[in-house]
Amino acid sequence: MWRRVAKGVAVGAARGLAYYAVFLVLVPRLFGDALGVSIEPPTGLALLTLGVFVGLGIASSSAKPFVSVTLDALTSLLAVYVLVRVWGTEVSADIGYSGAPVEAYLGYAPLPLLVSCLILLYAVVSCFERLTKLEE
Amino acid sequence: MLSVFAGFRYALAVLALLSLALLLLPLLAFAWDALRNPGCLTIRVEGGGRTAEGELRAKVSVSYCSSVPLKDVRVRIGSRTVEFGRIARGVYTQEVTLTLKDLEEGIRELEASIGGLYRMAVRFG
Repeated sequence: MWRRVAKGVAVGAARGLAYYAVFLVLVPRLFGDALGVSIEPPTGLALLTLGVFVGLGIASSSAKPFVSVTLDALTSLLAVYVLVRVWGTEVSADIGYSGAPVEAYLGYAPLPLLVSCLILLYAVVSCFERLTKLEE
Repeated sequence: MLSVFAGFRYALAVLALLSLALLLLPLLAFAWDALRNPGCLTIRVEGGGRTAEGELRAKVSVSYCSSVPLKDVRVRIGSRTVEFGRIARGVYTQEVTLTLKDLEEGIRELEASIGGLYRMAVRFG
């Protein structure tokens, strides 16, 4: 019994950490490098997100299968929220040009929108796959 | 049944790669062209006499070098907005009438949409 619980906690924590690393560290860094801007998540949000991802991961690994599917779907929704919150949809910066102040603005809303749609599609496919597996 | 879902996953991965590449390509190509040639997008205002009402005739020209088209291009000179619509590589000129105040204020803002996907603006002053 204890071994099963410990395994669930370890697997859940690892999954939560993996979600955190991908959505709050790796993807924003790659995206920031591609655009040449610095995207840093607020410290409070980073810690809260880490806690919630790990918590949902542990709960999902320890709960009964039907509850687990729901919790995994919640994790995907949180990933979408984090992505939109951290990436934002626009960036603006003051750049000096020949000594005069110049403000440059770039709106990149289609990118987070597309990635969010892909994450949600993947979550839907995963949920159906697990539900089908449960029925079999 | 499960192989159907595996197929879905592969299809989704291919879709993700293709759509991300298609979406990022215009932005990266524009950034590449603009960084390689800092004068890629230039705006020029040339005076061309006065109208009967005392306003100034001017030619506003936009020259653009990138292969990625720009849509909804707008140049604001003082309080006057000049619309260029869609532009591709080349030089585009429009004749406008400006007040002396517009001319004194000069070019205030350039707005455009990179490939019709990414809104960008440069505001001066």
